[in-house]
Amino acid sequence: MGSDVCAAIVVYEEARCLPMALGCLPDDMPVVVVDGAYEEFPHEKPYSTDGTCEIADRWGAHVMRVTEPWRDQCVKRTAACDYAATFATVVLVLDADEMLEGDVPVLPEDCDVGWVWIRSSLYPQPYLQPRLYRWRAGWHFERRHHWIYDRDGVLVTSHQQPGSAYTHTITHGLIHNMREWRSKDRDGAKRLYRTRRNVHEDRYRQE
Amino acid sequence: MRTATARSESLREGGAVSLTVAVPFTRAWAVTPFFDALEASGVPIGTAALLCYVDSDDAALVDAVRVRALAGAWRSVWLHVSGWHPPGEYKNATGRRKRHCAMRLGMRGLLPKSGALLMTEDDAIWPAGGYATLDATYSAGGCDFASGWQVNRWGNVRPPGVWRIEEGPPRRMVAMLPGLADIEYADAVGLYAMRTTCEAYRSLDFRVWDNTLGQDVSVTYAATRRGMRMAVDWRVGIGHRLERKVIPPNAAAPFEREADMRTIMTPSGPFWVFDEKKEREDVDRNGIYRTKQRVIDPATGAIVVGKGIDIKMEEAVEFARRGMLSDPVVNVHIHDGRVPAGLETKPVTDVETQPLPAHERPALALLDEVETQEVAVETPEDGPPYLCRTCGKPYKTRKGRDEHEASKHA
Repeated sequence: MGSDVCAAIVVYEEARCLPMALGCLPDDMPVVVVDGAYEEFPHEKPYSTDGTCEIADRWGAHVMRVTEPWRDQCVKRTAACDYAATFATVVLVLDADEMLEGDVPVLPEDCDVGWVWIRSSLYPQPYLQPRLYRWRAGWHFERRHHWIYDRDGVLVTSHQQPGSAYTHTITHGLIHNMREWRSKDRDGAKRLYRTRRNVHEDRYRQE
Repeated sequence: MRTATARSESLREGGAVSLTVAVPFTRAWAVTPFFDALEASGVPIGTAALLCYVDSDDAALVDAVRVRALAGAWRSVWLHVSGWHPPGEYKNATGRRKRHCAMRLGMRGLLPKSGALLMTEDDAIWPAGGYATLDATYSAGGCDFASGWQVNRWGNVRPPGVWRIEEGPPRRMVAMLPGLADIEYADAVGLYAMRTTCEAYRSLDFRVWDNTLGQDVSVTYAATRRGMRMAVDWRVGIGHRLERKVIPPNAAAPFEREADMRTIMTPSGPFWVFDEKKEREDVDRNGIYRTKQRVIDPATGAIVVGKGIDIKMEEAVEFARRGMLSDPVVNVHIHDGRVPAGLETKPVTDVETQPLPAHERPALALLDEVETQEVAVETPEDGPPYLCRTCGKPYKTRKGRDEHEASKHA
């Protein structure tokens, strides 16, 4: 399958930050970039129109373009990880406004989930989050966009709680979240999206 | 001012190129003189790719760059607009350096993976045939970077942007001057006229920061300390364009500086430094938190608390610690560097090759120290006249200069 780690980045109108995020990755690291808005996210077009995908093409990333909006963040992230898993055994999930610092983190062979340190201007201290996954068929995001379940509905990990059925470890990975560098005009749309997010939970409860 | 939003687009595609020319633009008045000079410098425009990085939200600047770039016979043209309002020129040095770092990292993400590269700046006025000379110097071998030279616009001092760094202690930076030979090696240079390759440029670590040197100097000095060779060709003197005049190379004057400079070599770089020191507040145990979203048990999916319900802040913090709730207002009380329950750290078997985890890195302590120091001003001013930092107009008082800048160049 070639390289060991593939980065998976979900994007929508991220022309400002994506070059910085890509510029921090090793040249030879496979990257998948998945574009598209969400159904409840205010948008004119369901795909990026600011050149985000063109930036990813220029970098040499594997780009997934869409013509319809994604149902929600969970479906989009699952698609991104499924796609990334075709290029490497381990998937590193990054947002477009995040820069990988230092070396690509290593996930030991006997571990399923690797946690990395995140540095954000919102918080005075770095914090841990799961970002490295030895992705398997049937794994999917559900309920929240950092919560992963396996095909049987068993929790793999939440953003703060490691699922006991899988092996977790803290890696030396380091990510800087450049939230303050994002376009301010997107923040208003995102706040509106968050107020509507319970709709997705209802969907999962009904299914 | 009409504003432009972030976007990136190919204005012209033309196949394989022999050279990529990359230029950050921030000043509308610089566009025409820059292109006039560059196009006369010997750059093989017909076989070159042009990457224009407009680090601004000024639509007029974007239009000017677009029109002028397309007017040239470049084989291909790519236009990137950050859509970001420029920071105050000399306010908040940390914020400005972060922004400069962001621009450099952004350019790195837009360059081809390989090939010849010319990195220059919008206020660089190339001499006729200057690129041809510089390219010959680079092509002759013996260096990883070949640079022209340009006089800095630091207040009323005029050193060339070519440096010899004496480690000391104390560390001393000495501006080099032409005279010894046509081509010399330097420890650090600016990025205003650099001939290199895309691979070499990408190897530069723009996350290096020194609290007194300009970031270009910090970055290139870090490269030379790693063994890369930086040559300066004194025959390629680059004019430094200001809004109303050009500082010619023959304005160069000696300059050296001794200071307690520390190069902060961290993988994290300048953007780890917050503009304001944040203190973690203790949880208000009597406080009330209204849930903005349902509180859900990740393991079972059960809804523990509905949306829009008032709960104690203590409870909210506990829910956040267990991963059942996520809100920056609450997260600030749990993101304290602690390890979530249930996580273990694999034993480090090879200490020498394993990097330290983030919370143990001494660089954070260094950054905290630097953050509380007064950042040395990059524009040393020994006294009147105080020169406008955009157009160079002299004033008898600092106040007069500042008022002029605020009214004319805001």
